[in-house]
Amino acid sequence: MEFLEPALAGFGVVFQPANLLFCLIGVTVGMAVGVLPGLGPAASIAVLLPITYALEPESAIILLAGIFYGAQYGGTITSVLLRLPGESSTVVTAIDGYQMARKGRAGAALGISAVGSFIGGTVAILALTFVAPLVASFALAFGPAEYTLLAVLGILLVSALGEGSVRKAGVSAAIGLLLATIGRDPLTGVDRFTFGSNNMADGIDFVIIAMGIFGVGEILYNMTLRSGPSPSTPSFKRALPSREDMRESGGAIARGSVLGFILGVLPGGGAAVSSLVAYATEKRISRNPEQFGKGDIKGVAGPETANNAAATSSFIPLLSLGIPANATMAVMLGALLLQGITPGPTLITDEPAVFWGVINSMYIGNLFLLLLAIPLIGVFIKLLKVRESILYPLTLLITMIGVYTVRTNVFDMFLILVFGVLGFLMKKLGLPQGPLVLAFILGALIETNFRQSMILSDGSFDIFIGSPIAITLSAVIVIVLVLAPAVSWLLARRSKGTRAERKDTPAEKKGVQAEKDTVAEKPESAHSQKPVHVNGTNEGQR
Amino acid sequence: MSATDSRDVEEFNGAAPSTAAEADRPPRGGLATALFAVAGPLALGLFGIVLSLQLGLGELNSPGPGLWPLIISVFLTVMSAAGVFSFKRDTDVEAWGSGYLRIGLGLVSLVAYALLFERIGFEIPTLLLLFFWIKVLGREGWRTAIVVSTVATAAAYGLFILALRVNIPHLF
Repeated sequence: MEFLEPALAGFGVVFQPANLLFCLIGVTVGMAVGVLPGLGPAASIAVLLPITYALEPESAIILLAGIFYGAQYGGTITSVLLRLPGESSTVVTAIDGYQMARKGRAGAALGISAVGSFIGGTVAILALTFVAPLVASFALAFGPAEYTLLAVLGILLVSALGEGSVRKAGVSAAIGLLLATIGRDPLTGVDRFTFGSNNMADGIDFVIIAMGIFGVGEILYNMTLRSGPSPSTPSFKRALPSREDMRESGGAIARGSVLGFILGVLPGGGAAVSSLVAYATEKRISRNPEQFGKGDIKGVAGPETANNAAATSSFIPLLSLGIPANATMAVMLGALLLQGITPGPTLITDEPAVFWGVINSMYIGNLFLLLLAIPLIGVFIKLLKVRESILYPLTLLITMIGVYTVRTNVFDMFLILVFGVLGFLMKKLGLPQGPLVLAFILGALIETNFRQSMILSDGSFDIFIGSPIAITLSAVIVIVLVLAPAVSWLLARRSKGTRAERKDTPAEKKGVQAEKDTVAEKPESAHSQKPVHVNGTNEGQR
Repeated sequence: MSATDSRDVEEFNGAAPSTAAEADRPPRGGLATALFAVAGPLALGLFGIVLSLQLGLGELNSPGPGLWPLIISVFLTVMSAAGVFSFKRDTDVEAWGSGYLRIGLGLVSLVAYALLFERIGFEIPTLLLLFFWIKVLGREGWRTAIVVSTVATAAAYGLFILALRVNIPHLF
């Protein structure tokens, strides 16, 4: 239990008034951007990265973590009230949550989401407190070969588990890895792909990639879509679940916490997948599954608990291994690197204040979230009235000034527009952005470790099966490489079958993929003002 | 503009989609777009191969600067080329939609912003940029445009210069 001492000391960091304030600001800003149309959590965090640059490392990460889980809940609000999921992790919430809202139970739906998120988040933080140090101590034995394999596996899983074509995800990841090689070669000092420009010699900053592709790209993309009239919101009094609601959702919240925690740790899992799995689980074990889709509170409580638990536990691979589990975590890694902190197994001993400060701030952040959510939802809903014609220029302004502050270089302002256009093209061409951003941030780590491995082994690839850990990782990589195409082929066949004979086959027998289909097809276009397309984070959550 | 592109436009402007499921997704792009999604990355991969070879590969026991970029470029080329067989069935590409004049003007204004930014400080370009986006591109009223751009410029001054004290060129 020795390790608990620094863990408790971490509360000292959190309870500093300034950090409490940053946590509160983060959660509030997060909820606001979650409600605002257009930008998901990955984009919001990316856009705000340069602002955190001026803060102390602990404060910066506490602020960003607050934005991250605040945004999760902000997305829930729009899902329930308007059937407009701001992010992929709240898509399933829109099914039963919106039906509840139509029956005048919006308050109960939002209330149970807040309570479920709080419980799921807290359970996950408690588990994280014990698991993260274990993972870190295990990873201390990793050499360059193991790191290469681990990072490759991370990119591979994120590419394979995301929605859409695995081939395209691979293309995106390769572009990200290639972009990461721009600049001076770390081992030989040779300039690569700089085309003689001094501005490129240090490589492209991650902030530029993240802000350009997620932020600017998203705005350009949204400008090509038809925008409908400003949505009208159903009225409700207070976001408070009744005692009966609580009793009914208890089981769903408990299962959601566990499911979310486990799925959040896996690369490519994260909040979106865990909410889908939680919904499928609740529906399958329910005594009256026909109530799902008609406003069953368990269909809100389960997924909402799970996505928050997963959002929390996805910090484990980031903080203990330095490997982000999804694109949003990649942006968090970018924030840490910007502060001069390289997360990895030694973070917990080298920077205990950062490590435990961040983890402990999550308790407080979740509490703030619960306290803010219940009385203040009405205020946040007003943000829905902010029009795109005002929101976009303000976002672009923060982006442009923000990127300048990182290196005090106008060249970066042009570069971010180039990556904005790239992000826009990727969205139009169906190339997922998540794998590119993730691969970019891991690119240097993979290359350096790969080359060090080759030098260590005197040019022999045997080093990648040279230790039990390396053998295991290599085996998993091979399995994923073989299995992923097979599974996606099977699922494609299955979903074709489902479409053809949907009337005869109840969806719940088909597992998660079928649930995904249900999500896409179920909502009736009762009064849909806008297509329910999931914004940037669709890929962001990969 | 090819025939497929004009089909895109038709699809985009077309009447209400037949089912709710279709309404949930932006319209699908045409074959030309799908082919571009293959050819673009493919060209990038081939370009990467050429440049990596020029950098020098070194030996396996002492990798040169070009070895790793070559590995990725080959991977990119192979993954892109594989799309030649499947692009006709590609359901992930989206129709281009409309609004490109606004996007073009918007990008030009951002470039102008960056050019002016260092020369005359950030206040005037910021005010002009916001006003242009809100009034001209966003077609808001005069009052909204003037009030929002003025208040936001003042807020940006407060945030970046007074609160965060970051190093950006400013007049005052």
